[in-house]
Amino acid sequence: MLKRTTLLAAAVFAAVAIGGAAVALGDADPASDVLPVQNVFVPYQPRISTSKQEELRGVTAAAAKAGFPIKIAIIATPDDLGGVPDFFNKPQPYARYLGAELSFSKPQPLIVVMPNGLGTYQVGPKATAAAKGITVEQGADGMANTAVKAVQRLAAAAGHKIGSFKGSGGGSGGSSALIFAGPLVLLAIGLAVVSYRRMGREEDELEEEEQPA
Amino acid sequence: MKRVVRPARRLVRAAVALAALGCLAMGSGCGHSRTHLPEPLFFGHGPRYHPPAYGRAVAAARQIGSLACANPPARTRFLAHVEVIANGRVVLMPSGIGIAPPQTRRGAYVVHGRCEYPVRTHEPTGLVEVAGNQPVTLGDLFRIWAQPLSRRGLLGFTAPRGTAIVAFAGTRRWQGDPRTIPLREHTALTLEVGRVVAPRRRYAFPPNPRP
Repeated sequence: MLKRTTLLAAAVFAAVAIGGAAVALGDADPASDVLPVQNVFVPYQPRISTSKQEELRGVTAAAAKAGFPIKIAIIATPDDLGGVPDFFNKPQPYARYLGAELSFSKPQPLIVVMPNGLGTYQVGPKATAAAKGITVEQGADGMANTAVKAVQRLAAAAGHKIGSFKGSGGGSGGSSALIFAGPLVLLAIGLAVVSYRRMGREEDELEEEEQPA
Repeated sequence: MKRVVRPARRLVRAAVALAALGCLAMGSGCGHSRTHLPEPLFFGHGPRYHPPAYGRAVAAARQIGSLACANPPARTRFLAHVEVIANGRVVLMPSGIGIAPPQTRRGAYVVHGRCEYPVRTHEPTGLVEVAGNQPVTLGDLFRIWAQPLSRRGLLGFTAPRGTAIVAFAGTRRWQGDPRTIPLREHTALTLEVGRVVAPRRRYAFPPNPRP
């Protein structure tokens, strides 16, 4: 009887241990597949505007240049988590999970933005403390704004000053500014040339009229 | 009065006490949601874990079986998800399967190519887009991908002697040839070779693929 009791108790213990512990399951979160190749993972829906996406890419590139290489995962809905939707609105546990997945060759600092808060991984103690005061703005672009501000604030806390970057609206301007400004400048020059010529022609006509017959 | 403890009760008490002890020992607080969060599974190293997106037939935009490369591509009808695990490590399923080169890339995503087959991937997340009306199988995906799939072979891996490729459709184990698994809307497939890990209970599909 004692033997049976011990066996059953051991079986219950094992069942509880397996059920209670974190279990390694198949990988299936999209961010872990995308972030090895690029610095930013954005939600499927709602979509982040192109300009904000450019800003996100710009700030991560500038941060890396300043010696603070970091990746961003913006998770707006459980759909962005694929096979691990239970992590939704658990930014810190997901940051640990995703960070570990991405750090297979070297530690990879990371910021995770979810509607209810931020999570960080391997950013250092000062930056981790700086992340605590950040509140997440609403909407997809709001989450992107939050991520941009977080990178700047965390980098500053860690002692890295990020310069101006593509999409930041100031400083380096970037290619998109050129694309929009270029045609406007050409149009202005064209108009100026046309007006100048017209003025010249009108002056000539006036002079011709003023000359005595 | 002497209290009589029956063996059956003693058994239950012992089991409950040990279970409680187990909870405490793990510090996991049984029943708390934190304990159900999974642990990550890592990518494998080396080219076998990072197979290319296409072979010669797709490079030449040739018809593969009954599947043709169309331009403009047929509209995506539904999404499925395929995950490949070899010896407990994740194989990266590339973006650009079923998209003939030259491919236009945007970061990790393939935006478009010369033409597209009705089974394709635009992102490296295992999301498979299925277009057109004809039924397609996992075997079709692997033929377009130009990667081996059989009862004992998966990509560059062979099942150890006496074992076979393990395929799960959701959490249900597929008993037949993995090539015959139909790709249907929101099918979540896990293919494994070597050490087997438990498949995910579910996959949260996005409403649309990204590009």
